[in-house]
Amino acid sequence: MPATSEPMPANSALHAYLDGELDARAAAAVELTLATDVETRVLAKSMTIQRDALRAAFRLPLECPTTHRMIAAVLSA
Amino acid sequence: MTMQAKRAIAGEIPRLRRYARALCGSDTEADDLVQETLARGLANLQSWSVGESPRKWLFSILHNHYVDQIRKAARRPHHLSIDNGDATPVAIVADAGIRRDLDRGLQALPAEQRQVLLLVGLEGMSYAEAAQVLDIPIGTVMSRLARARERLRVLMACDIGPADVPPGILSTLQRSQR
Repeated sequence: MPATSEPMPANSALHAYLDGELDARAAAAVELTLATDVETRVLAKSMTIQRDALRAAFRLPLECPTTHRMIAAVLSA
Repeated sequence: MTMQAKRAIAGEIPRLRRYARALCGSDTEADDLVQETLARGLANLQSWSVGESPRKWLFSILHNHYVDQIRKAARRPHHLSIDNGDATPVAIVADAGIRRDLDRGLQALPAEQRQVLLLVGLEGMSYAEAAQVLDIPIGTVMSRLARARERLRVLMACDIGPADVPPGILSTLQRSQR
């Protein structure tokens, strides 16, 4: 784990696993915990639901007049 | 400025707007933030290493401007502050309600946690990229991210029980490759 100025919460490794930030060895350790501990699975599942909800709630504003106006302004700058 | 550079910057506008909207909780504030980010970016092109994607550079500018605004708002004597103390848990219900509930939950988080949560969880940045944008150590990204997600989970009162998580769900958890 990298150095930090703040104490590391207990579930940091799980979050890093869910975000695809762990190397194979560290990921295997988290997977072992997930396979054997139902509370960790509950936490992991609720984190993926939260992530999906965020992405569903805030979509890229591609077809939006304001976006087009801003793009036109930059292109003509 | 070359047309190619302008196109690269313009291409980031949808992402900047999405992030700013989730960060500010308001369309007007978000659009002001993005407008200012673009203006500052265009005025300081020399700070962008052309050849690289302008994404991290533009998100850094947006971040710096957002922090300036928070500082200014804190100095105003009678500004409306968001009460972090007793945000009521809200259930995730239908799609229509999700954004409103998430807005409420996100705005109840400290700004520094909200930034990390959105850069990684919404914009799909790696921890290293988020650390660069926010100019903080990776370890700080990790601790703020864990706190933000735990806190949002409590606020959103997402109802998951042991029956919902058979060991077989493992393969569905990790985010798809960027």
